[in-house]
Amino acid sequence: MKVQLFRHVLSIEARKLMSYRIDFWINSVLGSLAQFLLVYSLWAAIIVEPGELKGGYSFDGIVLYYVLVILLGRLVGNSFSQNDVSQDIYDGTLSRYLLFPSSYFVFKYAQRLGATTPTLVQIAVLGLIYLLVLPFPKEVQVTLTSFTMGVMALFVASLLFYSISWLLQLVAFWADNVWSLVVMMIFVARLLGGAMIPLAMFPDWSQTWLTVLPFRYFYGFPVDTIMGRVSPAEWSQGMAISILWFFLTMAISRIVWRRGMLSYSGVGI
Amino acid sequence: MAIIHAEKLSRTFTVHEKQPGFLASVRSLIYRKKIIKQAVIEASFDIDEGEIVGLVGANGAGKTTLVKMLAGIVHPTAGTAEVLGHQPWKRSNELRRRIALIMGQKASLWWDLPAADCFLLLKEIYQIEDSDYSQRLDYLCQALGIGDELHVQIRRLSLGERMKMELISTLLHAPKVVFLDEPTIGLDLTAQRAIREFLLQYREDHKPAMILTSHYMDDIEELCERILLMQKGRIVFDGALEQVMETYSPNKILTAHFQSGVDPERLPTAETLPGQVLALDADHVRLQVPRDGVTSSAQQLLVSFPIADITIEEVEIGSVIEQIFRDGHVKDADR
Repeated sequence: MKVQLFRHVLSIEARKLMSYRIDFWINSVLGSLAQFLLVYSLWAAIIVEPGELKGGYSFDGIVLYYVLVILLGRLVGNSFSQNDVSQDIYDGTLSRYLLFPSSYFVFKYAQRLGATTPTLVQIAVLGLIYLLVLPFPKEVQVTLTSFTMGVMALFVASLLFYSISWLLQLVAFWADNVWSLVVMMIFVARLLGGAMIPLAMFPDWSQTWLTVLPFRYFYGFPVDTIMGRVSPAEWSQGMAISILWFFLTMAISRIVWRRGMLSYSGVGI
Repeated sequence: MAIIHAEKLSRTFTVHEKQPGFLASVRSLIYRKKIIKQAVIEASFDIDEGEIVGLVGANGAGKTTLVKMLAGIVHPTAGTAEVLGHQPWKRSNELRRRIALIMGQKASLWWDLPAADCFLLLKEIYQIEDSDYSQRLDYLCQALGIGDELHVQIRRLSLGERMKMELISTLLHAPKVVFLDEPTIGLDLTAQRAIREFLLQYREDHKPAMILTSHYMDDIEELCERILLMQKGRIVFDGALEQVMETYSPNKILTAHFQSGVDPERLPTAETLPGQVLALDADHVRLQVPRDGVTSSAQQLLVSFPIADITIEEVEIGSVIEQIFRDGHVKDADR
């Protein structure tokens, strides 16, 4: 797919979402705020005495961790990408894309990136509120290096999330409704990816498993990287593992897509 | 050389039977009965440049599946096909830039965008040069009478306007092969006519090969010189529209007008007429007679009754095809 087309699809998707102003502000901004308030109240109730938590987080540090997970997590896997492909297969919309002289996989990724673009506005608004209202943790040092490494980790996380979600959604070629499968994947990804509890708080015996599984690289890894909690060596290893998962998923997807296309009937037309 | 070539093209689908009721739903969680459905069986034909071929058949005859295979959306289970020298289901970009499919029952444009934005996106998708894009868009908008509607969100347009936008979006990249699947479905008569006139004009100007499926007989009659008749997945007829009559309509209509001022007793009764009576009054009689018995029936009428003039017509083609849709075959045309 040409870069120009990719940019065009991305831009259209972003404009489309921002044209729904009420949904943009209520669902996205207020949704993030509500999510944050819930997590904040929970941790405020858990931590009765000041001090360092397991994993080396302070209370302010854990608050920042969740702010970043909530905001940056939207860049990695927003609701848009959760069942769009399976829906296209299910209702036959895929037929339209099959006629286009461009890759459906890349087209959908461009749409997904476009759908995350408005999130940048939300990040700016909510990030500003955070900086104005809450104290920044003293132990956290965000440097240019950690920030750059974090942004790169976020990009790979977005690709990896998309590729795994894509693979699962291809099951729609054979099953009528794969929503439950996708919901299950998101739940597992959030739990084992550090979106619910920071992974450093998991038992020691689970740490190796969490490192080799792909989920950590969706949320915990990019956020910890930005917060300066990941060394360059750990970062290189993490990036290598997530890229490996991406290629593995893509290789399996290729086979599944080919088999799926043989049984695709283009229902709905 | 044919632009579209299909040889023994077949497609089988496996569907699961689902019985009604709660218990049947519970049972289906454990066991589902598979049904093998042969949607298209050994379809073979060729279509040349500039031809508009009507694909005609009852619901479920396999028309849309055949079109989907030729457009590269669906893989065949047997047989082969070539469109512009390519196997369509391999979906090469070279082929996809030169074909188009209009699905009357399925919107293909983006609902939340104005048509102008959709067209710009398609310009990028098909990599259309700026000058070609402007020229074609002007031509298509003018031919279809589109103006300010270009800047209205697709979902806010009327059905007719939306279909016109679909046509523009499909033809912007000047395809050499166009598949039209029910392009006038749900439209009022004026809009149907406008689209038919446009398609004829487009054919005249661009000479694409077109396959049209439609349940509206006016579409078939006005646009297609040739039809492929499908019945239960098979092409049972491939030829000129007029030939359908000879093959599927065993009767002709014979109308005789009586001389004026004739003694009513000299006029025929239904029992004395040589054919099935469709209408009979003091002025005229309208009969349906077997195709091979038309001459003798006419002769019999002229000899037996005071006839002023006599005409012989084909049964209306639309009626014949409609009957094929209804019954799956032509029995005895009773019109």
